[in-house]
Amino acid sequence: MDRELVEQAQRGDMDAYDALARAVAPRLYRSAHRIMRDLDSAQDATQQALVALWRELPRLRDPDKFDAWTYQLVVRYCLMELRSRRRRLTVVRNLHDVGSSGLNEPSRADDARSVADRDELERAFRLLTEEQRAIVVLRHYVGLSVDESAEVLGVPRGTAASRLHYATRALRAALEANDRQAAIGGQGA
Amino acid sequence: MRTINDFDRRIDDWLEEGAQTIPDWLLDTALQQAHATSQLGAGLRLPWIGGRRPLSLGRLASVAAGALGALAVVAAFVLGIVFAPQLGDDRSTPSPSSSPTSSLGPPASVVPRPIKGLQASDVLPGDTGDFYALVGLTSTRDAVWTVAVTGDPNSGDVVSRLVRVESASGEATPITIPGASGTLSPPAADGEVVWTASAGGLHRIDGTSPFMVETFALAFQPGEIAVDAEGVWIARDGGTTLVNRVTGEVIREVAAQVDAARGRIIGAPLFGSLWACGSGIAHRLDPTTGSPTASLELPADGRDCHGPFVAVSGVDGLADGVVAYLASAVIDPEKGVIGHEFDVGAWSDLVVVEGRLWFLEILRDRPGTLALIELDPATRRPEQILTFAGSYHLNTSFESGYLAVAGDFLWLLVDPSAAEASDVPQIVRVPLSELR
Repeated sequence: MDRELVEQAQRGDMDAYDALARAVAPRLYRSAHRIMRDLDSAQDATQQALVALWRELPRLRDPDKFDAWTYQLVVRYCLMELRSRRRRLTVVRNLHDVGSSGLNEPSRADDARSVADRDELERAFRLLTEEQRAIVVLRHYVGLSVDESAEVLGVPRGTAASRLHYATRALRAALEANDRQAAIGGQGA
Repeated sequence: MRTINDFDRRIDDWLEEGAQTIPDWLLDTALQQAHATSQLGAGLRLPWIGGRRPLSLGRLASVAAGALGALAVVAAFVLGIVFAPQLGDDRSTPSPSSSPTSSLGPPASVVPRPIKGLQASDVLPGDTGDFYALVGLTSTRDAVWTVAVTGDPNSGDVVSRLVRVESASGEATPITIPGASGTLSPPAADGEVVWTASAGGLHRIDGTSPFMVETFALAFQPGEIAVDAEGVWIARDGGTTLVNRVTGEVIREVAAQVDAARGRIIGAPLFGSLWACGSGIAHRLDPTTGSPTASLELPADGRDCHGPFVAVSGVDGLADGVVAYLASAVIDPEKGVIGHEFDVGAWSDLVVVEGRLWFLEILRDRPGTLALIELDPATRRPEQILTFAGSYHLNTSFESGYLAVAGDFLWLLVDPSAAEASDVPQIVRVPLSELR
């Protein structure tokens, strides 16, 4: 992002802010939707993040860190929204128990975009904790490293790595269960 | 052999799916709100940026550049799809702005009014498991049906049950389906028969007591189901499969030959055609071959269309047509073009009640306020706005199935926010008299 534009917006230049907001809004919205899995909630989180971007921009110490900071904003509002819905996410721990063995088992379900994959991943992801959702999206969708994800989330690297490990394990377990189901179906067909 | 990288790739592929384009209204609203907001002073710098764990800016810059590059490629691809000449004899790609009926009437000042006589049903009376979700809503003559997903308090397993709610009394009856495996699909009604599907097969449930269940084995993982006179249409990876309603035998397999948002064709034929959408393009498909017979660009909110199409017919003052999930337009099914656009906000389901078209949504200017909005066919803007007390989420991830009519009520699947006394998903009913 143009450092000069960020500095102008920090000084209260509304046109500069508009330009920044228009530039970052699509990627914030896309990230929010991946975390929330819900358009309405993603729109709420994105809108709040864009307003906070204006309000809090003067306090961004290093304009060169603008891009990472915007992810911090949208993740913040996604987590707030998800935490308000925590009660519906309590089943998550059950999926973690499925186990992570058998990663190398052969399977007939080789289509990575299969409908079953998507459904299983959707269910498993919805059952992750809010912090786990965020780091999965930052790592796998946005493409940040674990260090960068930890920076955005404001947690130590070890914590970020641990969250990513458990979240990924849960998603893999869901895929494995799906593969096993497909294999069983194939034998019976 | 499966590898860890293969699993990561499948997760990456799945995450690529989802919203790609931010709605213009959302960005405009955020900018307006920001313009009316004061900036904080610069005296207190945000602590996280202090640099105790310095961010690799070079890495971040390359990621950002890569993302922008990828976005440009995706955008070019999408634009290529939208504006490239379409194949097929009668295909057309009219832009919504060129639609002959795209002009809307002037915005009317409609005062929202609260709904009276709202009643909620306890979907799983006495159940102590962790409640996760209600999935889909359909109706038979005297009842509505949904799928309740909970956690078993003893084993911790996810439990999925079909639930029947009596329209007159609101009494709920959970029905366990022998042979079901994994999560049940949203139910679909066919007269007094209810259908759902799972990894265990296609399940046919007699809608009257004692709710006899018959299961037909499937050689594929079923997705959403829909029923018409020809049979049961089961969305599956790569298309849809038509199954005989009596024998469970496969009648026909139809492959998706277009970009379908979730890789499958969802729903039964409407006005003689199957329908699919992807990347903001709606496709009319031959129900036998799956080949496209028309393709058209949806309005901006149709970019995220991913669910079934809905038939809209019998609405006073509005020509019959089909609506793509989440898109604010009625498609002329014969011509394969936009017939009408409308502007009622971001809706999640629609229903025709006594010749009037109603949408369910969260009000754009009142976050958390759930509302039923009646379309004014003349202006194609809201005619009535009925609001629900309390605060709600609007979930558009599961494909429609939030509204159904049974008995003297309109039934809704709603999702109260955590601030409410009951923040678990609920089924509520509104007397039809409220909608007149």
